[in-house]
Amino acid sequence: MLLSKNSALESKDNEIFEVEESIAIQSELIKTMTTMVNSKAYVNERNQMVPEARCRKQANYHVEQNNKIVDEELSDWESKFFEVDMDDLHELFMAANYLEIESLLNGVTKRVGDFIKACKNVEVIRQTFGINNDFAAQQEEEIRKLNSWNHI
Amino acid sequence: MDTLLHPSTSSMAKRPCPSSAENPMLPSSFSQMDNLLLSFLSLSDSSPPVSLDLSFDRLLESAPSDADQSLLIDRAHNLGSLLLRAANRSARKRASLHNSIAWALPPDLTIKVFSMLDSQSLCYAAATCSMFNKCAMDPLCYANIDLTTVVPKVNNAVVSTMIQRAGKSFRSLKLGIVPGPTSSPGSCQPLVYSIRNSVDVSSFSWNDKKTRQGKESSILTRSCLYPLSGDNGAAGTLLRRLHLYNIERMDNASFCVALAACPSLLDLEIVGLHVELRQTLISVSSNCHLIERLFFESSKTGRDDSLKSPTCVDLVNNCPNISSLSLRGFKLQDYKVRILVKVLGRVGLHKYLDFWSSGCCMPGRVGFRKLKYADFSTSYLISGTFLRNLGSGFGGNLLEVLILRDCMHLKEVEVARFLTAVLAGDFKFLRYLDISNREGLASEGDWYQRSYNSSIIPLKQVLEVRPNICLLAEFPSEGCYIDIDHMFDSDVNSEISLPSQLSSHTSDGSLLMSSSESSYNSDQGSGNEEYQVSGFVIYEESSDEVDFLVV
Repeated sequence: MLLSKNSALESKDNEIFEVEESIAIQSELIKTMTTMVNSKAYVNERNQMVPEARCRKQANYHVEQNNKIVDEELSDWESKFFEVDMDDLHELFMAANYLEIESLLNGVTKRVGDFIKACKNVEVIRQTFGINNDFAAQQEEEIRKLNSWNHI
Repeated sequence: MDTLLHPSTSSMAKRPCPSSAENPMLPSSFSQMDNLLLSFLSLSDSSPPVSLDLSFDRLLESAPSDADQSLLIDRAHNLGSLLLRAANRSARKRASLHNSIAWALPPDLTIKVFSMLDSQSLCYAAATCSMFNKCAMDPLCYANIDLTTVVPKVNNAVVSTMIQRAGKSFRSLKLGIVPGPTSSPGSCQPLVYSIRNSVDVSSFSWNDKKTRQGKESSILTRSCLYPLSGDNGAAGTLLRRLHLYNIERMDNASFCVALAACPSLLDLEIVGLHVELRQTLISVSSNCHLIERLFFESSKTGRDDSLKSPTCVDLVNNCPNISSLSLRGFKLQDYKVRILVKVLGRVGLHKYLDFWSSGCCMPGRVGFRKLKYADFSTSYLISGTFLRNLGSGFGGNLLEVLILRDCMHLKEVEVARFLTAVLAGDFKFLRYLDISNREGLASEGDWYQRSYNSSIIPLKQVLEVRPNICLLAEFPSEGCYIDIDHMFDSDVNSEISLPSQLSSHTSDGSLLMSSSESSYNSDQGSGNEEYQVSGFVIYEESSDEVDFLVV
């Protein structure tokens, strides 16, 4: 099997990205596809589901990640990388999930978790994420009782 | 009747109403109902609210009998509540739909996010909306349960619920009261916390909570760990980490029962529990054979002297994986500690004799072979003789971290001996040593004589020969902080200025330096090559003159 240095990934918007093979393989999905198809450049058309912005982000993420060997640098860079608004985070999330890139997924998950942790109570969570209260009165009462230790 | 036109207010209590199918007022055909409802609902737009009131009154007046009036009123109630319920239900559905768009993650990813949250945030999230509530019930979110709080808030029911929700994902449990970050920093700051000392207690009535039983109580009782044993110990079997802090009501019996249910335990940390060291260690060695880290801080510093040699031997034999051992605030004799720490090498008899000569009569394999981290801070009775010949020759001692902070009876000669061994090349893996003491080290002979001087302790040399060791040797220095270099350079004159400060403290013969003036900086992460040495005066109890030794 001839393995070239770069894989070409085609995104939904028909844009082609040249990504180093080792980086592309970080995505479990691409890994399985390339192995199955046994070709370097012809990645399955399913990949077309991923819109361009996401792909670019993946490529960036991995390139940078590979460059930063020192833990401190990496965590600094990572925190900056994830300092985006909810929409972008959501995109990253979907992309990481679809492409099955574990490290990226963990990073985004943690970031969203941090968002929630920063909220000091229920109301703030609702405001931050634009969520409405859809509990029936009885449910709310139950929840309040269970969480009385938390002063909800 | 106002509530009919303001269906969003939930001020009206929900009443159980009979099934509408039996209500003769409503037509059975579906589309008729639709039209009727439509025309009724358009009322709120067209006519002012008060006309409905008047209409209803007129109906009542025209009712033939009292019974008919009651019937009318009943029906109005029923219909009203039906309509209200329908409207509320629809509002909730719409809210749910809105939520699923606003929070665009699918449930599995949401659960993944929630599994990263601490227990408190998780509960907040669960109370936010029904979608979150559902996701927050997933067992994955309860793998690491952390119910530690600054003041007592958690009760047994909460613990039980959380463990139940964890199901097969249950891995770690932290419980109890941990003093908040406002308490003064210090690596040896005891985590032991007494509710009586708390400043946050103002809004919390201790007696009040004590008398209440059951779910209303905010106190963890001794049965708080029963869920671990329940269902044939299903939960306990999964548990890897258990950290308990200052649970006042916990006793020996209940705790040992809990430990008996946790054979897979790897990490056990208990601080401020009123349990006996010996009984606890017996329980650990009987049940938790896989344990790797044991951290035990006494609730009454210097009073528990229950530890016996056979207990140490059993612990070493039954728990060979222990790599981190902390026993803080207990009365420990050197020979007992030696059993725990000394490794009997492959070399045979003469090492065995050495072991005998150190005063212990216990045969058999001794010493944790994997011990890397040892902390005996604030221990009483140990003088340091257990350190002799610890890391020599055979196999080499794996010890990486040794903390003997504030051990009242720790002798400077033993520390000196230990450091000399380090200089000679023993303890190859040692990278952190803390021999700091608020009250100096004990001099040879009478332990009342304290030494703050490092003349016989080769600190500087150790740091030269083994620069990768982080060495903490802080002793009280009257508030001024003179490092070892300065001490070398200064002449006698500059040091004479000190007695005037010292005599005021020493005139009553007390060995206690005022701790507020001690440079009690205990930042463990202060860097690998830094060292802080302070204090260079030998204090003689009987004399007003103070001797100075320039090293």
